[in-house]
Amino acid sequence: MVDVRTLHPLAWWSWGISLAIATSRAGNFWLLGGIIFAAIIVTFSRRSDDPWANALSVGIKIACIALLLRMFIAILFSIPEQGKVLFTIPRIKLPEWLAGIFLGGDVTQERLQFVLLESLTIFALVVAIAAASSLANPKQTLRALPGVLHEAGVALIIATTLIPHFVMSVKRIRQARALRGDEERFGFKKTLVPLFEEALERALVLAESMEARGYGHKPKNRNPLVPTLTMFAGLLALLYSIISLVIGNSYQISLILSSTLIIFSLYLGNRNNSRTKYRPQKWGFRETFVLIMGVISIVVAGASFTLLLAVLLFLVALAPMLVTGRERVLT
Amino acid sequence: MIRFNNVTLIYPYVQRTIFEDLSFEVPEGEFVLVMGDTGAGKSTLLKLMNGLVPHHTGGIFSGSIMVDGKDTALHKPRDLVDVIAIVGQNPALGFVTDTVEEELVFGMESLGVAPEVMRKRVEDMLDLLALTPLRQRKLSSLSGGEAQRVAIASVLTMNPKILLLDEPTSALDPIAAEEVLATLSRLVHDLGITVVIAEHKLERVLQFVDRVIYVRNEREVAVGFPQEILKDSTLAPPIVHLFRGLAGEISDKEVPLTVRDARRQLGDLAAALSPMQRNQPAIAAEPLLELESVAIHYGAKVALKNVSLAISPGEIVAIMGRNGAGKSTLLSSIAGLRKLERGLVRVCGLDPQILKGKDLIAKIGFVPQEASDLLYAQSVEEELRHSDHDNGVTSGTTSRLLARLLPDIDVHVHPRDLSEGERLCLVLAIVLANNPPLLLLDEPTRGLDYRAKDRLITAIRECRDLKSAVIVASHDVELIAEIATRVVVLADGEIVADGPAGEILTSSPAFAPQVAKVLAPAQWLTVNEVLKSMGKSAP
Amino acid sequence: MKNKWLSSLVILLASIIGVLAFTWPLFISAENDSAARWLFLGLMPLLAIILIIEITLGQLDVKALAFLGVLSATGAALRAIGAGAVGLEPIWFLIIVGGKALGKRFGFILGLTTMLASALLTGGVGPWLAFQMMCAAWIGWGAGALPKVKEPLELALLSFYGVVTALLFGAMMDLQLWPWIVSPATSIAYLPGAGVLDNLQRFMVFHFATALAWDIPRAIFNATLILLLGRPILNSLRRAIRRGNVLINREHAKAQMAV
Repeated sequence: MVDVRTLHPLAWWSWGISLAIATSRAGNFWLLGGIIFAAIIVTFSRRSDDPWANALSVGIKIACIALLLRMFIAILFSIPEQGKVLFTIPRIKLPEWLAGIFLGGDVTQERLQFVLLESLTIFALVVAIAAASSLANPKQTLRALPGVLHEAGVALIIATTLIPHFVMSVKRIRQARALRGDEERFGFKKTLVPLFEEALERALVLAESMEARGYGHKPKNRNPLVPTLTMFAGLLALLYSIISLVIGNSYQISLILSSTLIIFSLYLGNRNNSRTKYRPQKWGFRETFVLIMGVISIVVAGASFTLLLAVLLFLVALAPMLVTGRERVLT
Repeated sequence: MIRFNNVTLIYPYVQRTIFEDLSFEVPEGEFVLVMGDTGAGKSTLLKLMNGLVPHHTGGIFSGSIMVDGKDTALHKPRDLVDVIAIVGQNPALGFVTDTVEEELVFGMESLGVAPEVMRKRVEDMLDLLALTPLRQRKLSSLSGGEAQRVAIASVLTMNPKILLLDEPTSALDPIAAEEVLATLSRLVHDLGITVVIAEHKLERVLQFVDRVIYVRNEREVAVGFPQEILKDSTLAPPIVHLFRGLAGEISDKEVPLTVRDARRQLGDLAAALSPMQRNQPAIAAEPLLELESVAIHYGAKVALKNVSLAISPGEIVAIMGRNGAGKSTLLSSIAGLRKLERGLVRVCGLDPQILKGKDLIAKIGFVPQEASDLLYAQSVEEELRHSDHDNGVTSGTTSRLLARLLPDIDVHVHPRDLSEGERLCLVLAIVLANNPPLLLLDEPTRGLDYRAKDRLITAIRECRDLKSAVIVASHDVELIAEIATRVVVLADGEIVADGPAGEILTSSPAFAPQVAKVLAPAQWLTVNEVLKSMGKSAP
Repeated sequence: MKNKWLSSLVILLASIIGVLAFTWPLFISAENDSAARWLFLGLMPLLAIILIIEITLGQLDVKALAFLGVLSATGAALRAIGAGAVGLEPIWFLIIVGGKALGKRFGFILGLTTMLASALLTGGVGPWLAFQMMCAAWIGWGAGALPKVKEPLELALLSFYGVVTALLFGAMMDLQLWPWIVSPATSIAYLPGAGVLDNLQRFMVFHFATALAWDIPRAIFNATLILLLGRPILNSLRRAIRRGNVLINREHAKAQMAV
């Protein structure tokens, strides 16, 4: 079912998330540039022709908008400070009740540099996540998820399978509107009502078909109370940890405790699952390699900067290219 | 294998008794057909057998149904998958995943079947249903017959003893239907599975089945051998009607179910019949519709290639051909819904693409395959009101038309609660309200029983009498034999045959109606024709 | 039933943490400021996953699941067709009406999966996704929790709800965006340790300055769509529920029988 060359989708996600974490640790232009370029190069040479492969292009657009918007806001509302003044925007006097907010004023070189660096961090973050979602086939991702997520996975598989069908249905229904002599451009009612009726009828048929194929058949019934209780405890600890964080106390120990509890609860829930997987995609050497490269990129990004390190980070982030081919499209 | 004991079913929301005090039994290892009028509850009967009714749909149920010794009231359908399996009316709508192989394992995965066992069973099923070349295909790219076989395989992976199918061939062309039925027959004969199917198109299935369940009404169900049941059933394929009409002339009293049986019994008669004289209707000089070397592509796929056609008022033209041969594309390009790559289309001398809104429906009435797409109101009454307004006719016109097609319809019902046949009549009434000179129908008989088909035939003939041209794209050879004056056969987007119905239909083995096959080489098409020529009245 | 209570508590707790993940800039102390931004960003997807698991695990029957898949697909398809400019998405209409017809628990999960499915397929995956999912879930839940009123009032109430949630959604997404898009070197950025009121004032300036242009059209669009289409679509949903006998939970079924 899966081509040899396609990488396990979770490996792509591990790579993307690692780059995102690396972004949070990288504090200069060179490192960030390395991450952004590596992510873009890998994605554009390895993505398939499926609709989701477009995610990076969309991501880059959004990241550009965010970058420009951020620069704009930063320049317009900047707090006055010392430094080399590049240009000045006329200051606008704001009413009394907006005391403390500045509009316009001097723009210094230091300020511009600082803002650009921060904006680039966000840019890299968006690009890293979008790259992973371009490369990892969402349907394979859903299939690869652990059993606790199976039910949600089925709902999402149904949804992702049906979306193209419904897009077709909308086109068909629009034609049908013309056949009743309707010339309105946005006939929401005449399009959406038949679409909904069709969708709901389909839901009933689908439910019958799933039921008739044994979906929801539960042979053994372990007590689901224990995982839920553990989850509850974990979330309580998490809440405590977050409140400590917000009011400025130390939060690390409770955070570790809560993550342990939550992971344990997920593990327990997963054990309750009796479903099996047909030909699960194997996690092999190539996947481990990609995962390790991700981890290395996190380590490298945190080290104090030299140009050599930036090149190293770029190469590490690019490394998945060595073990992957273009993601394949089903016909 | 399946035993009904005093089964009664009432749907509380529609306040209607579906079945009352039914008792019957289906023996093991047989190929069983459920027949009955639309709305008689064939689908419901199938769903009762595996417990989808009432477990899934609700309803008041009494009595008991035992399937292989298990009571369906005590077991949910999902717990009976290793005993009884069902494939719905339109299997493509029941697909959960998006490739063939994933679909085959969906059930087994939820049951927790061990991976090695799954692999083995998948291979077995791929072989058994000849699906190996399709294993990695996307489900959305399958043809109707392929989808049907995948759906069958996806339930057979759980090793059921009984297989239920709701109208497995009604959406298929004759050749694909034959394939599916042959597969089913093999399951019965080689694997000993009990197969129960509900089907309208009796002429396709009767030759395969061992036993018939005839649902006469809510309290009367007859179970018997096909010959017994068909002796006096109101529903019957053309062969049986022919036999009944000629019963006086034949010594053999056994009802023929296959073309071969019928030829043996009626062979001499065929020779004695005077040759068929069909007078062609006078064709008006000015064609209503003209197509000139029309070509359309979908990406790399050719949908229509160099199609030229001229149709005059008063003609009823049938477009035939395999699924995917370009029939629907041809109809929608005539209605101006598709951009042409080359060529031109003229309806009453106008390009349909520039016709918009009311001008379009004044010239062309189009009933698409998904007829319900045209409906959006909350009740039939509201729909009729909209129609009068859209068509610009005096109020009440559409409703009068509908009353002729469906005399006893409740106008307060939601259009989606109508049966498929009733919905088609409603759409037909809306489309015909302003009496367009050109009427296009795409697969109008899907899910229609003989009675509903008769109404359709009357409506189409009335249209023709009003000097409209009618174009019907259909697989239903019996319908086409009944109404068409001319047949156009499409293959791979090209016209491969175009001529009078009698000539084209009798010359092709796939598209010949039953009567033509029985009485070949004489060019007879319908029972009525034969009986009329012998001075007998229709049955 | 004990289990159901507990599971509701888990959902409540996760939602409270979710609210904090949006609002932390308003009252963050100066000490842990640098960690907070990244921590909450990573926390949100985890919360979304926990919520999905908690609601689906053994609580949804096969019909509810099929409805969920199909409605999410409809929502995502509508989004893909792009019935309007940014923000003018019929997806909110779907979540609100679906939540109203099928109950609050279903509305909650519908919000989560609709957002996720459409993002997966149309390429909208990014750090903001989990935040959008959480908002959508609350909106769906709220629609199901609206009081039951008679026919003409029902639509008025729903469209009012559509307006309120559109504005709230805009504010929440801005709040989530605030620490990222506004440089701390500006006078409208959040100020760690400055107090809620002070920070709120700064946020409002940012919110009005940037997003009001989107939120008001979205609110109007929501309300119009609900007034125009709410009745037929609600009817369709209720008819389908009745025919398929979809029982999301027992209280909801009783309410349906009463209608």
